[in-house]
Amino acid sequence: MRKEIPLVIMVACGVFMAIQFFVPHELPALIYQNLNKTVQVVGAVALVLGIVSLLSLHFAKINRRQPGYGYSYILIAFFFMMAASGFLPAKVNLGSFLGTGDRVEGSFYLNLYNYVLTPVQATMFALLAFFIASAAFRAFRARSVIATLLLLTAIIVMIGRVPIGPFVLGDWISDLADWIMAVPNAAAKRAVIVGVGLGILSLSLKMVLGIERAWLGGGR
Amino acid sequence: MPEVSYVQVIWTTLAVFFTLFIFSFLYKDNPLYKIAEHVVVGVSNGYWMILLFRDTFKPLWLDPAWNLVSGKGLSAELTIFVLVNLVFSVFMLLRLVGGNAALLSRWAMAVVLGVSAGVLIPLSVQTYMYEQLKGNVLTFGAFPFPFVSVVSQTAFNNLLIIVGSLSGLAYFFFSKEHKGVFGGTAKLGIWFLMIGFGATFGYTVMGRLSLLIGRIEFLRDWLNMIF
Repeated sequence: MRKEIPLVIMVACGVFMAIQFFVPHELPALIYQNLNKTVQVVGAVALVLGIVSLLSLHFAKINRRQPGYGYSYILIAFFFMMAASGFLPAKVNLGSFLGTGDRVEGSFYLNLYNYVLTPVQATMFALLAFFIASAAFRAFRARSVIATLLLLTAIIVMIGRVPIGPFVLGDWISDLADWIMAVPNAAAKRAVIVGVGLGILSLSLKMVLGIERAWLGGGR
Repeated sequence: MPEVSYVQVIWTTLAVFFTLFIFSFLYKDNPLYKIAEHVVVGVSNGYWMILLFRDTFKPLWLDPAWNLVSGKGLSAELTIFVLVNLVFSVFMLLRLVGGNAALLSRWAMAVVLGVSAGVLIPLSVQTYMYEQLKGNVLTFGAFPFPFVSVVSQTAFNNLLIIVGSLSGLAYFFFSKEHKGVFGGTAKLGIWFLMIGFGATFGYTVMGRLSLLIGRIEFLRDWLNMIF
């Protein structure tokens, strides 16, 4: 019964959610709304599992004095700072530097968001520009017709999207880049999207019909 | 340059340091990068915790549950909702306890997976297949446009989208051997797909470069702010 009961719950929920789409009645619509909210609530609670797991990993690292354990102090400190900033009562004032407890401009919460989280994440993504360029330099070789097509399209789109492209080569390069994005790219994307849809459909059907059971784990 | 407070200067300087810490990875992996990396993991976990608590957990469960406990009265529907969610949330957290109790977390997981998979069945057919194919039919019907033009929508472009998407789908169909007419169609499909991948690559690179320019502008603005 360790696996059968969860399987029955999943099949019941899955079949109901798929069928209710075709039943124009208030009751299935009401259950649908509440089940959707349940997924949101349980999903939010599941984040606690992730956070406990992350913190226990770093506390264990500190306890064992593993290499680089000093960074774990930083992670834990910033986690608690951010979490505390979100739960502070609105009336609290932490001083002119840290800010207030609410969520308006100048609050501790928004200061951490605007001056720590946003710049670091944006810079990490910006850093990818260098790695993508170096990977492309090594990987892009005109070895075959299709590899040449990929290379040429990438070059045209890149040159056509910056002001220097039309400035040096004329407006046709940006028109061509726009045409590639709007026509052959749309055709390829459409084929990929339909393929992705078929993949999602088959995986969902496998789960709802109880064929896919990897989520139950391989243990008892 | 607008007036800025010293608090803003300090916070912006902190952001500049973190930006430079991340850029230091271009030289090699180093302690400064690791500091910024651990900071962002800590802060983003805290951020998501607050976001999910304030925008999901509190309005959907905590507020109705508080009304129920404080005796303000709750509809039968909401009372059932609060109690069912309490049970499944506790089940989910029992994973932390371990042992046989942890097996109950599978029940909560079953609800999440079952509901998500069930919703996705009609949804994937609707959005990923029906809407895409409908787009093809509509463009096929839009023939009063000029036949060939690079800058405007044309019948030729519409035809290309239809041929490209169908041949691209043929390439992904592996149940039939890629030979003869079908093989030719699949080959045409891979050409379209390669153009698509090239365009996506170019677009992504330019997006990242735009972010990079943004970060460099941020550093320039900081220098203007300081001096």
